[in-house]
Amino acid sequence: MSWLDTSLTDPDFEDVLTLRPELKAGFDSFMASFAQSSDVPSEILAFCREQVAMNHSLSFAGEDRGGFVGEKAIAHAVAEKISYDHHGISDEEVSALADAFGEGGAVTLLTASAFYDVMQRLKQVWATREGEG
Amino acid sequence: MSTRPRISSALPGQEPTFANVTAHAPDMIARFFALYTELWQQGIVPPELKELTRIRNARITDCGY
Repeated sequence: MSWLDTSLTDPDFEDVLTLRPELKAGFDSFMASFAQSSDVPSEILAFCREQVAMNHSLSFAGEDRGGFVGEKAIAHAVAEKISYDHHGISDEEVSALADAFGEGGAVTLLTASAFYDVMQRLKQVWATREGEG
Repeated sequence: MSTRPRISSALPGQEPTFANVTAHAPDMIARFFALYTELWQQGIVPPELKELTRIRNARITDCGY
């Protein structure tokens, strides 16, 4: 149950953000820019989004999701820490991102991961049901 | 914790800042600032309260920016 607007029946993230249409339009446009970047493969962005969701999921708390290689391993290192240990992301891990995806890709991937985290936090604060967002 | 600037400025000859580092992804950051402007300039929450929230958030997350 969400306590933001009782006129909404079982709202999801999109429903609640629609309460501020102009804000939603800007938010959607910004979030879409990650996928439209040519610097980071879409499957890597989806992987980071999934990892950040897992960071916030009690059912996955403490689960070791290691064993990745290549670009996934590099992306996983930061997506795993962005939620609760952002100061723990090391110089070497950011350098690895820049080596793998270029500096533009590193900026895109770090920003995307941070805002995937924002979405998870908003979902929890708004107490919305799971949806596409 | 960061020990040095990790991403260079997208603008040659400049020290790295939030603006010129994120300029490596120009379309993304243009859309971000459009959203940020909407967030700050519109709505019913007073700007003073938004600023207080921003400062408190920065303190809690130990933001040195």
